Amino acid sequence: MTLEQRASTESTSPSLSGSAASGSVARRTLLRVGGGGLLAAALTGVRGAGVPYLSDKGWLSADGAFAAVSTALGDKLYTEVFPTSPLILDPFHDELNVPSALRPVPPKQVTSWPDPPGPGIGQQNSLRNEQHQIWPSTLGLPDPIVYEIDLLVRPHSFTTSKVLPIDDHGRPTVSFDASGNRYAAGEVRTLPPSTIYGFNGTFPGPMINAEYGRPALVRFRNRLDENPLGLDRQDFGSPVWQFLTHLHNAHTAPESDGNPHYSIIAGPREHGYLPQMWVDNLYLNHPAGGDDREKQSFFWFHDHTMDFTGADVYKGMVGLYPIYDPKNGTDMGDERQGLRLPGVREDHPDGSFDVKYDIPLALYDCSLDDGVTMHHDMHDSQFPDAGNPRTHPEWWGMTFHKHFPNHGFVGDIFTVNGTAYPVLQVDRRKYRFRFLDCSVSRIYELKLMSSTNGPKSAVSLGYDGDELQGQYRIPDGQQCMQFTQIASDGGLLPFPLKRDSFELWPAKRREFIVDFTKYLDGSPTTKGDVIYLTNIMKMTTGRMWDSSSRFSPDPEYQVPLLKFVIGDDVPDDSEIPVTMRPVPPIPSDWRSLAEDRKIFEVERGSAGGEIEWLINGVQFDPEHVGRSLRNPNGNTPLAEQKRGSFAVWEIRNGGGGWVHPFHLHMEEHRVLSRNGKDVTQHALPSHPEDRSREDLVALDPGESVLVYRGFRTFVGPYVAHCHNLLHEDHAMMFGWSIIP
Amino acid sequence: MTTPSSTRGVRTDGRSGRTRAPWATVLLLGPVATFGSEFWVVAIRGAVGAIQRAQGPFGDWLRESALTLPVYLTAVLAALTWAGRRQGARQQRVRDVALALGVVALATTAVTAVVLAVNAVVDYRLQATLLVTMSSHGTCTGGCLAAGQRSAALLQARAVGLGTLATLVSNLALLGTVVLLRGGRLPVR
Repeated sequence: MTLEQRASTESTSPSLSGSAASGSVARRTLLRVGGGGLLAAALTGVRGAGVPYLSDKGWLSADGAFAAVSTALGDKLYTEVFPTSPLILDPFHDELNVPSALRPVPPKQVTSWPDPPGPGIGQQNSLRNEQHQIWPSTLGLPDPIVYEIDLLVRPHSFTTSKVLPIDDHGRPTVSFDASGNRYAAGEVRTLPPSTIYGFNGTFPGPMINAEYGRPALVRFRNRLDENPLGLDRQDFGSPVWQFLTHLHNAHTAPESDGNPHYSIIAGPREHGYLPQMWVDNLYLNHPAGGDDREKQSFFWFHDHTMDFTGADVYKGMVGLYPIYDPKNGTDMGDERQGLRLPGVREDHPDGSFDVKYDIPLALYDCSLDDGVTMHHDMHDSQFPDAGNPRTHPEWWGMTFHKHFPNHGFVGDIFTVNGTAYPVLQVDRRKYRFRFLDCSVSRIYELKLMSSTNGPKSAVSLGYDGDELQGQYRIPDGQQCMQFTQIASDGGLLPFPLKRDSFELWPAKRREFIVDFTKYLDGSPTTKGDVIYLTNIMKMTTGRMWDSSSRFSPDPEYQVPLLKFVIGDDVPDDSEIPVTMRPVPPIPSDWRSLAEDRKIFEVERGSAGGEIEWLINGVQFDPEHVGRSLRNPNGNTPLAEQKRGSFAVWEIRNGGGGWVHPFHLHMEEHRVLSRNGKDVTQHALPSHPEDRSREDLVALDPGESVLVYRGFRTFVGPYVAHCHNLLHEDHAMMFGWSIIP
Repeated sequence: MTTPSSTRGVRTDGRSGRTRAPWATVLLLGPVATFGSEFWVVAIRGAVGAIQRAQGPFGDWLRESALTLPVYLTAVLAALTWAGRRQGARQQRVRDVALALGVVALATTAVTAVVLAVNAVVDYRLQATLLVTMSSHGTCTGGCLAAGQRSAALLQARAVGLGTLATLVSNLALLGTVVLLRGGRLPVR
């Protein structure tokens, strides 16, 4: 631009009002200052609020900023609407369901079956095309105890309480019944039962009390085609009623492990066992490598059908499998022996046993249909009878589920052992509680609290929207007891840990001793005292927490799940041990092993109208094993390991805004490092269980975790996947193999 | 065809008789609009784009901004030229500045809409193919597959709309801030 042109431009550029030059300059200065102020305000806002937010979510990077915006845009584009469940008016009055051990099938009855279990070719399933890879006698173990579990369509009630239908503002609203009748706002109702697909028709399903050294064989029979009660199956769960059972995380051969890709290439050659098929899952109850240090203490079994695991688990396919160690009486359910952990064992003549004061607590959140929320997702056409997209007033009060992969799936009603807000009368002594998170996506952080005024409904406290999740709060709740942690996924810890609170991620197990004789300050409890098991982690979507002790704690969020009422003094021979089970050693040269590690990065993708979830940039391919990203040695190995080998694997959370409970089938691992920080000697406060063995890697936002594990006993295909079940069902899984 | 400048009130280059291009303004606003608009293109792709095209968004943003810069510069030039002709020889008023700003924002947003639409087509084709591949392993075949493809198409259409709207708003904000920082001036000639 020439000087002449510049002069021309200046003269014709905005005078704004045609006023004198001095006035114009003043205005221009003012505008410049205003523009600068806007920029400064924007930058300050980003620094002050944006940076901490991005940091918490793992988005504090150039790519992360885009991911944050993409996520926000996704929220606008993906229609994922949840109903508001009716308010349970009388919580903490239904007794907690304390399961009893499933009784085995008498041996005489087993031998009379037309197709009795056995080691021969064709004896593993009803298709007669599979064989157990290792029969117990191969390992010098006795023949298995046989159990029989049928998959049944049955009703289940989460509460006997009356309910008040409310909307997302907490206001009373209309409700409906199965005949389509409409009830006025404010009318108190009784919930209809929900339809479940349950192991033996219950939720949770049966509990098998197992022991190391005593193999168990479970004949799972699919009877989901039978619907003798004429129940409405609704629009979720495997559409062709298949099942595939995974005993999480037993050391099990592929044909009994419920691996979805194995099922496609062998056995049923379907996504699972179809109605009227059966399969014998053989659980050797034998530790990896025959090493006592590899013994675990609490499994659970659940459906693992490809694409429908979350829906099937949510529909009830959950069972419990505590496993005891009778060797030297170490942990055999008898508090007079071994480690003297709480438990009074009662043996039954059929070889099964129950253990008093040793109680599993399966946490599960659900959402009940309000009759006005649209049902619509990618799977609609697989449920033609539902006629989606549409609302379903006839399903009012029954479980609501959709395959919402963008938000994950969290419910607003919290249940324990299948009952919403139950109560447990406890004796005044020590108990062993085995916690399991069998929710689809929800993570809990649990604390033991007392409350003078007791639970108040979130509605009565003025909350609305997502803040209604959990329905009740104890605003005056105070921590009153500690947990003594004795076990994690991988069994007993080397030594007990005192915990004020603990996180429970999907599929994780945590075991604790709770001493109901005294409070945190040492003062004694008295009969009639009330303690609440309380969730303090707010998680309004299935992505990750909004607040927890570790990130942005919200002291107002104290949701009671289970009420303990202390009763009489009873004898207590249990003790809190000083040491328990040592962990297998980590090789001193693990850093050099790590140079050739296999690397798997979990991340978010998008495909065909739904968010998909990826590992190393690809979706689950049931026909091929996964391949590592390039490791420090420059290799990209296939996910194959020789039988008997050990290896370092790295699991990375490649995208922010989500956390992932990443599950590796078949053996437990030890965590070596988190984000490059060695945790083999001292675990980080955020993950104290890293000193133990686990089968789920709790991946915080943007985190990278190195683990060390073995690949022993069996050969064949297994999987690794995210246990946020909507991620798993949307392809965040890869196959890996053990080769001879 | 050259329209006599006197009839439109537009100043022309005396030697050629053509309208003088406001290059300084174009070179100032063009990159701002480009990087701002492409941010939304890449962010939308992260939200709904095909998996293989939604990795490394920051690098994609830099690369695609550089590639599309000439198109945006052209759009800004065209918009300013139009605004300059409309303004004519009179001194620029607030209304002229607002109009020029709006036209530039609209022109650059139109470019973004086209880019978003092209992206949507590419993504849809990849996703539709992927859905077919997935259906060979999974349970979603027949009607489910068709529903998935329909859903993908609708989602892409909605994404183009949302991305266009977001771009328009951000262009107005970004370009408006630039004008403010320049003391309210937006030379169009």
